[in-house]
Amino acid sequence: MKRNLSFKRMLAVALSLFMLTAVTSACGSDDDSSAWPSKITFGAVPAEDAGELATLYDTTMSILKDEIDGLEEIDFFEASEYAGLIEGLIAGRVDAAQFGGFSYVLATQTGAKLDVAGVLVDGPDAIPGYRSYLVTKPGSDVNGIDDLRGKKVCFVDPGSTSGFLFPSEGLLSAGMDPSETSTDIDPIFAGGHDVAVLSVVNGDCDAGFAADVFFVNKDGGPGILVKGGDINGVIDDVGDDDQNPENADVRIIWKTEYIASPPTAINTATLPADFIAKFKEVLNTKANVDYALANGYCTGTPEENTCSFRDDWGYIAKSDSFYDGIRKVCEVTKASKCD
Amino acid sequence: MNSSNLGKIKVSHPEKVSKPWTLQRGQIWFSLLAIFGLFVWSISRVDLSVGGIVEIFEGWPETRNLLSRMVPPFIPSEDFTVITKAALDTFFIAFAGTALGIVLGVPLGLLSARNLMPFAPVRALARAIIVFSRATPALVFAICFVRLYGIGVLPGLLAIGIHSIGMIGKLITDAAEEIDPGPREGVVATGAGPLQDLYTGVWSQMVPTVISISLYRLEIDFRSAPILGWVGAGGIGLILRGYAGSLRYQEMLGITILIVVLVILLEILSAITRHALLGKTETKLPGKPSKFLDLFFGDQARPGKKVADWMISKSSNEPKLKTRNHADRTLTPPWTRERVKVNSVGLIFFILLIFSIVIPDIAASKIVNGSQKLPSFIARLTPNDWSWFTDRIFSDMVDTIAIGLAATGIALLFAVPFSFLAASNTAPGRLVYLISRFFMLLVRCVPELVVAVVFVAAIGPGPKTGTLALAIGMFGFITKLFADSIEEARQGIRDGVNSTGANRLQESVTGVLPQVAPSMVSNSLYLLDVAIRSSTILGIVGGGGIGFLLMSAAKRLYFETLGGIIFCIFVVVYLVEIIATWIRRKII
Repeated sequence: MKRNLSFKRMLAVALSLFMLTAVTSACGSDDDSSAWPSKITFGAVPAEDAGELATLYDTTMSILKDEIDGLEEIDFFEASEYAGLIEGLIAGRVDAAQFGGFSYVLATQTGAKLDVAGVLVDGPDAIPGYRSYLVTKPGSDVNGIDDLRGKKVCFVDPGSTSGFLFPSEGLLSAGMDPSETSTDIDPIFAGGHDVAVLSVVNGDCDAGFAADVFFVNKDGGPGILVKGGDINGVIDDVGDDDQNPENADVRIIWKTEYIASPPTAINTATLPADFIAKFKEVLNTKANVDYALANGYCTGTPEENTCSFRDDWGYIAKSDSFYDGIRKVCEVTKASKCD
Repeated sequence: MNSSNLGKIKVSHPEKVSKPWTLQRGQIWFSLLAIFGLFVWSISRVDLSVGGIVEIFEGWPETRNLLSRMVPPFIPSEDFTVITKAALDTFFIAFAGTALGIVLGVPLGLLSARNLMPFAPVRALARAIIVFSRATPALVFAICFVRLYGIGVLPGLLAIGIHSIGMIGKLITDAAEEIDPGPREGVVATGAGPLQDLYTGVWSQMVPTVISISLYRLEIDFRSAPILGWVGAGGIGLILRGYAGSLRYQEMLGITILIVVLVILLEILSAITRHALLGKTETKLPGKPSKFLDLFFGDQARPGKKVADWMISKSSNEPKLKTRNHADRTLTPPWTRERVKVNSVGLIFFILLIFSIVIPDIAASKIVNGSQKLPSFIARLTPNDWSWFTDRIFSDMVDTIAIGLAATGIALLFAVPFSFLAASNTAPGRLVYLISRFFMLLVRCVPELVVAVVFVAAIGPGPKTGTLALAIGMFGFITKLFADSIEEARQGIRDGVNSTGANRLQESVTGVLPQVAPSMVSNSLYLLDVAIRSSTILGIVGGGGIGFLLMSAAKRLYFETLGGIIFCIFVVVYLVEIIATWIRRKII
C-alpha cells in the first residue's frame, strides 16, 4: 500500500500548490463614484435584429473615448436578459446601458438610479418610436383586437415593451384582461418576436404581437422575417405595410400607439454629474453618422456606411419624461413592479 | 488497482517498498498532473482566484440587497392554476420524452452492436447518431425545435427524447455486446430466423437492463426538463423565466423551491418503481462500474427504499421479469404476485404515457408540419464557410472548458472531506451521517441551471457565477459517489491502522483514502465530462461560456452561427469524453 502513501503526499503537494496559485493571482480594484472615471462599463442584451453585440456600438464607443477627456476604456457587459442588466446597474457593476423602454422604466422603479443619455434614431428628424402589430392568419376569423376574446394570444415576453406591455394596454381598452392568469384570453409567452409570429403561422396561437420591424423595415421594404424567408408575405388590413400580399402567411389587424424608442441609460449612482453631462453632450451631438463620416470614424455615404451605431443614424437627446407614456401604460396595465 | 502491476513489486531493500514506475503508472500520473494543472489554470480563467473571491465579498452589500428582495419566497395564489399546469407539463415532457428516447434509442443501440448488426456502415451510422445526440445538450435541441414546432410541450418533449437517444443507445449497445452467446446459439440451433434470434436469444436477456436504463434516464430527464421552458419549450421553466424577467424574485425563488420539491418527489417515486420491478438485485450495466449507476439511483433509492422493501417483503425469490414474453407457446406462466406487480407497473406507465401525449394536446399535424421544415432548417444551420468562427467563439469555448474544469475542481475540494461525513463507516455519528446524506440528496435535486438563474440574479452574469452554480451541482454528485466508495472500503486495513493507535483523522487518511483513491480519481474524470457538458449551456441563463453566443445567435436568427456553435460544442464534448474514458481505462 506504499503507492497510496505517495498518492497522499501528492494530494498534499497538489492542495498547497492550488492554494498558492489562488493566492498569488489575486488583484484588487477600487471604485469611487465621485471621481471622474477613466473606465466605464457599457451593458447591452442581444436583440433580435442586431449583429455581433459588442461590435454594434463600435463607433459610439470610439467617439465617446475620443471626445471625453480622461475616458480611456469602455468595457462591454453582456447580459442574456434585461433583468441581468438592471441588476448590474443597481449593483453598480454597469455604468451605462442600452435598454428597452419598458425595462428602463422597470429599472427605475426597482431602485436603479438612471438618467436618459440619449435615444437611437434613424435620422436627425426621425420619430423616435416604433409600433407593435397584432397579426393573425390571412383566413382567420379574428379581424381586430376585439375578436381576441377566448383566443390563444401570443406575446413575446412579460418584460417586453412592444411584445407585451403595449399589447396589454390595447387588450385592457377592449375590455379584456391580458395578464398571465387571464380567463378572457389564453395568453402564451413565446420568448421572442420571431417565435410569436411563427407560432401564429404554425397555428399554436390564434393571433400574436410582434414589433413592426419583423414585418416591414424602416423604408417600407421587407422586414426581418420576410427577408429571412420565415414568412412569405404580409397583408396589412389597417395600413399599407403589405409585403408580397399574394403569398401572405400573416395579416396585420391592429397596431399599437407609437412606443418611445429604447434609451441609452446612464447610471447616476456610479458616475459624477459633470461626467454625465459631458457624456450626454458627446452622445447627442457627435455620436451620429454625419459626425462620424466627417471625422473619419467610418467611411461611406449617409445611407450606406461602415459606421456602427447599431443600425441607426445616431443619438438624439431625450429626457426621462420621454418614457412617461410607457409609465402610464405600465400603471394602467398594472404590470408587475409598476407600482 | 492492477494486479499484474502488484505482482511485479520487488522489495530490494526494506525502506524502499514503493511501486516501480511502470509506463502505465507514468501515464496515469502524467495525466493526473496535467489535469491538476488545468484545474489551476481554469480557476484563474473564470476569475475565481482570491481576487475574484474578494470581489464577490466586496459586492456583498449589493448581493444582500438583492437577496432581501428574494425572501420570503412565495407562489402567488392567482397564478396557481397556471403553475400547476406548467408543473404537469414538465412531468409530461420528461415522461413522454424519455419514452421517445427509449423507442428510438433501443433499436439504434441494437443496430450499433457488433454482435447483432453484421454490416459495418449501418453500425457506423447508428453510432454516429448516438454520439451526436449524446454530445448535444437537450436545451440546444430545444432552442432549435422551438423554431420548428412552435412553443409548448412538443419541442421540449422532442428535445428530451432526441438527447436521451444518446445515452440509452450507448448503454444498450454495451449491454448487447456483452450478452451471453449461449442462449442465442441454442435458439439458432432450433432453426430460428434472425428476428426470432433477436427476440428470444437477445432481447429476453436484456429486458432487466433495458428497464434499469430507462428508469435511470427518466430520473435524469426529470432533472433537466424543468429548465427547458427558459427557451420556450414548455413547462415550469417558462414561469421561472417570466418571473426572473420581470424581476419578481420572491416568486422566482418560490418556483425554484417548487422545482426542487418536485424533482425529489419524482426521484422517490422512480426509486420505488425500480425496486418494485427489479427487486433488490443490482442490475449492473456493462462497461460501467456499478457505482456509476448508483450515482443516479442509489441515493434516491434510500428515501423510497423502506417503502419499496415493504412492497417486495413478502416474496423472497427474485421477481421474474415479463416472463410471458419468452414463454413456451403452449404454457402461460401463472399469475404470481410478482407477475401481477410487474404488469401493473407496466400498465401504470403505459397509462401515464397516454396521458403525457393526450393532455398537453399534441396534434399529429403539428409534428408533421414541423418535421417537414426540418430539412430546410438543417440547411439553414449548415454554414457555407468558416466566417462564423470568430475569435469570440474560440475564447468562449475556452471559457466553457474552464468553467467545467474549475467547477469540478472546486467541487472536489469540498467533496473529499465531506464524503467522509456522509459515509456510514467513517461518519463521526449516526446523526452526522443522516444529516450529511440528506443534505447531499437535497443538493443533487437542484438542477444546476436553476441554481445558475438564482446566482446570476444575485452576483451578476459571467463565468464566475456559472462556475459556482455548476460547482454546487457537481458537489452533490461527487460526494455521493465518494461516500459510496468509502462505504465499501475494507475494514481489515482500517483495523490495522487503528491498532497502531491512530486517531479518527489519521485512520481516515491512511486506512480509507488510499483504498478509495483509484475509484475517486476515475469517478472525478467521469464527472469532469459531465461538468463540461453542462457548462456549454450555462450561458443561456447568463452563467458564462459559449451558451451566451448560442442563445444570442438563436435570438438574432443567425442560423449559420448557431449551427457552427452546435458543431463546436459537439466536438469539445466528444473530445473530452474520449480523453476522460482513455484515462479511466488506464486507471481501472
